[in-house]
Amino acid sequence: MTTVWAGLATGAIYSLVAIGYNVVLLASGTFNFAHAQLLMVGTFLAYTGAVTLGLPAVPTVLLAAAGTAAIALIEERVAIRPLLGRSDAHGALITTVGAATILDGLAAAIWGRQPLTVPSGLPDRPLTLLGGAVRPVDLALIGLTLLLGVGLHLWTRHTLVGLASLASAEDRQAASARGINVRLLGVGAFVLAGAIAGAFGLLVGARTYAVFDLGHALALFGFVAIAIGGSGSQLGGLIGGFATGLIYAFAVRYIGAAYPQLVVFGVFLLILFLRPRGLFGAALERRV
Amino acid sequence: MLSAVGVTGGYGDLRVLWGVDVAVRPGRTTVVLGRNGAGKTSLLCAVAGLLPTVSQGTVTLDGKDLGGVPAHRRVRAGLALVQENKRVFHARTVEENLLLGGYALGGLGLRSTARRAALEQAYQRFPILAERRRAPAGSLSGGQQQMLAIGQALMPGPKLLMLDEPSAGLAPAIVDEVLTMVAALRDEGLSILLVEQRVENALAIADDVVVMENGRVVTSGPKAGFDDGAVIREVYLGRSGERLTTDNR
Amino acid sequence: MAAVVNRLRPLGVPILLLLLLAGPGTGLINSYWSRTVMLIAILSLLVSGLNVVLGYAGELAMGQVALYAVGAYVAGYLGVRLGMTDVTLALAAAVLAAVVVGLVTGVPGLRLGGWSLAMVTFFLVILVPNLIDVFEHFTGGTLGLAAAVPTLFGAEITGDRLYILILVVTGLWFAVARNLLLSRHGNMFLVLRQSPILASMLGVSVYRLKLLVYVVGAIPAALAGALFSMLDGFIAPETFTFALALSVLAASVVGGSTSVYGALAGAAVMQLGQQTFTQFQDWQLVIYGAFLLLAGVLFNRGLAGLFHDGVAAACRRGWLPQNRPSAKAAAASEGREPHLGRLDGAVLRTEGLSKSFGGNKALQDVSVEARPGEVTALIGPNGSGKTTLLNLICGFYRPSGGRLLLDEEQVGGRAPYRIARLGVARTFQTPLIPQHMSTLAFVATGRYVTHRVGLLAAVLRLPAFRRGYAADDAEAYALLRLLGIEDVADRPVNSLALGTRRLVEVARSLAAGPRVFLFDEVGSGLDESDLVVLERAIEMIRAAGGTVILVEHNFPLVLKLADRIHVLSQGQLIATGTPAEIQADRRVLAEYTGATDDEATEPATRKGGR
Repeated sequence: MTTVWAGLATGAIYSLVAIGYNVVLLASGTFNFAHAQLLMVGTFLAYTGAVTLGLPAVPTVLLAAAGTAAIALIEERVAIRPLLGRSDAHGALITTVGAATILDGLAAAIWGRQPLTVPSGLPDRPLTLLGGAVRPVDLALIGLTLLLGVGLHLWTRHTLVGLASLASAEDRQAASARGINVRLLGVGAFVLAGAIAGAFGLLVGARTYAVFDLGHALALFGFVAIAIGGSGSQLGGLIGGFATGLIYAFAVRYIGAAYPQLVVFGVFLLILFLRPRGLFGAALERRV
Repeated sequence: MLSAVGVTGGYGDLRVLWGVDVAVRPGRTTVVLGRNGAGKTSLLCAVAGLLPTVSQGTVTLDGKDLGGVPAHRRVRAGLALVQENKRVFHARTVEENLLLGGYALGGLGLRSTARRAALEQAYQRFPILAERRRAPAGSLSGGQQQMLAIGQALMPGPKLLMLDEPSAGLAPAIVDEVLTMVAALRDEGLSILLVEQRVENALAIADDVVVMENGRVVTSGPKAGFDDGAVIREVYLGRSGERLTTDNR
Repeated sequence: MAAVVNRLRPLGVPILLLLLLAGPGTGLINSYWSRTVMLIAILSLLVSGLNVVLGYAGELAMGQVALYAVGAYVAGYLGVRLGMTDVTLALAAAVLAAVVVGLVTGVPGLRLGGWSLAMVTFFLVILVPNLIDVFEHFTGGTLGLAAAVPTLFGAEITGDRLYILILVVTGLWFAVARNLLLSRHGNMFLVLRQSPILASMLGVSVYRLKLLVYVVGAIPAALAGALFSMLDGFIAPETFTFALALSVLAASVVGGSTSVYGALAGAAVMQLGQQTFTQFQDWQLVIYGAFLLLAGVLFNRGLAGLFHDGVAAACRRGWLPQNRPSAKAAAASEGREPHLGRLDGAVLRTEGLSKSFGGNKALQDVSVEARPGEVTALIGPNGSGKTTLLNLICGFYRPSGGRLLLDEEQVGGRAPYRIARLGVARTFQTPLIPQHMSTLAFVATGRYVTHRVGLLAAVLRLPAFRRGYAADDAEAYALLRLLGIEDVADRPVNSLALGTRRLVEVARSLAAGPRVFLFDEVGSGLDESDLVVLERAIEMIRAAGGTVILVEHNFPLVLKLADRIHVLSQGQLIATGTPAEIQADRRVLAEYTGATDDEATEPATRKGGR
């Protein structure tokens, strides 16, 4: 059961990345490769808030959320907006990778290349729950991620703005003909995704350390989560992230420490090959 | 109430409209006729603010200049466009589609008083939509989707309703129903700009007529001048002899 | 003078290569610069492989570094553990390994398009240290692997010899890349990048072609790896980092992804920048990122694009002679009256064909027949299902019911490229036109599948390639002449006006010599003179025995050209007949115009026929 808790905690981070991808994808149709880097920036801002400035948890979270949201806003302005209306399909492929790389480089230059420990403010002593050991910070991470994923899912389906983002993902032109400001919606999605990534910086950092190349692995596993869950589905991304985390944890435990990435890669290839729309993609679509 | 003067534009370098003039009088209906590719849809898009490039010309609604105003603000200004091919949001339910149609009503509450009132009105006008309110729009028949599209456009209470070929792809009985609906809206005092292939049906509703060809207006005026079937020949059978030859789109 | 310049143009690169090769031997280049040149050459191999994939197939592949590692370790393992130090063997084994890895990752990665290949290959890069660990026995793990001294026919390859080897291999690869990309194959890659729909309509399996491009792009990366292991003599996991992957990507966009030699320029910029500026190390990620961002937003054609613009400007001002690739083709077709050869038309028949989308029945129980040597028109108001029917015939939609027969063979539900290969050609309502291609070359892509010149023939520029190329060009030029637009042969096809684009599409569809032609609204947007040309072309196709299906709104054109007219309304066939019968059918005109008044729609009043 300890393995399950470890898998779920790691998986929660992957879910967070997948959720961030989906928020932007649903509102603006762009795949923001740099989203995992936003999460990375969030961990560093949490470090700055909690350690450098010595702030309590709540102001730290607010600081990280605001800072990351601002960076996401800049990214949208610089890397996405100039491409709107271009016919070239892979423009955003290049520019968001560029934005991600710049964030990596700046983080390395500002905070250095050594991993930094981010204190969560929660007690460190593991709890025993359902027959397994789990740290309180991991439990908080799992719980809040679940809450976020389900909340976002409900929010997109039951609020005006949420529905508008689904509509503009389906047909941008028709959406703006109905009076929806699709551009603002796209910008808003970036800001929201950034704020979420920043807000979770403290918890994620407490689990992984703050390190400049954290984004690489997270981007990949977040994408695997999307591949499992089906793109554009918040619940799918949530489940996909947890599934990826569990696969990872069980591979570490039963196959060996060198293998989890290989196993996840194998699962990823298999899914792309057998179920390109994702394991839950079709099922969730039908429930619409 | 609507006046577009000298509208020139298109998609990037590709021009599809060349100095088009069109006007709608308050409470009246202007019908735009022309063959496929004549630029009718692009004209509606230009008025609605959806044409990517408008290089020249002005569009005013009730004397207010709409130049440079983005599409979503034009909806708030009172323009409503029903696009061709029943462009409703297929994955969303009928009710969600209608509520989204009321996006421009302001406020962020999905079921604000204004939106609920507009929804009730839409259901009264289209009882079939009330019956199927929980069905995904993609599962509706073509006629029902067209009703939904019109219902959506009416949600914010527009001043001018623009319809792009509302009868396209519908069975005759449904076509009559849709066009009767448009006539009823006109009788209620709504100003209408209608693009329609069925010339006879369209003329029955029209007060003014604009005929387009190759991105230009070839003739326009009050309906009286277009009553004798000559329009049909002009639009569908080609104009004898005096076709424009300067087309370099 | 002009002739001399033109003659010398293709020799520029080989001459540069010769100068470089002679460099160290003649003392022109010291050891610092010779190492720099070798590193640039190796990096340019990596970049070139990426260019093939990114610039020509439009897929982002970040796995060049992983393939680089594969090449290095394969060569290293052969040398150290098996004692096979021969250079040719090492390079061959590296290429083989690259093909295997390319297939394993490309087959799943290319299923979805978009980001999935990028992510699969990115994953591969992240896995490299992992794999080196797992296969420690072969790779030496984190400690690294000291490579053996490479040999060629027993002679040791070090120093200047190694320099020459690296330059020769790089030069050979670029010759291969040039010959491949500047051929019909390269043109087809460009079509694929712009429009997979058009590519499949030209008879190409999009998936297989993408896979081919991706695997070809893997080869130089593995070659680079093998060469690098020989240069450094030591293979360590730290070489194969994500930062290197990013520098390859940055070099690609800086040099210009859609170009052959842009890779050299981009690699040189990156390598020299890294060596010259000491701060580069600290800020390298920011610099790569900025390059990517800027290149993506501002000049997405890179240095190669700037160079081409410069050459084009110089040609316009007369500083350089105009390059007219069509001149030879023009000469070949000189004096011949434009005409079409015999076309082997096929009978196309639908039996009760139906298609529905959700609750929307787009097409119900439609049975039509189009015969060789006839023009069959499909008419009907907007939304009546004409385009749906065309899409069913082409295989873009799968029928919900009914059968589609081509010469009595049931073809309904087959993939579009398979149907295209059976000889069904199509034009599009909005012409599909690629970028970076001349009109002549675009028309010639119509013959890609039917008059195939093999990959090997293109790469080696065999006589078969030259013959095929000349024949393609001559045929394409003749078709442009047939349509009266031969003057645009050398213009970029995406610079043409809409009317001309339509005629170019007709020429492109004719180039394959197909059996069935589907013309979708081909007359709309054409002016009077273009319409006359189009009418004549369609009449020629009919006379040559082709089967023509015309979807058209221009009623006079239909009446004039069609032998048989099928009228669709609300997805159903409501009338079939000769033009005279259809004209006399009141129902049809009523359907078209919504008329109820008999007087107004009296078809006898028609006087619009020009």
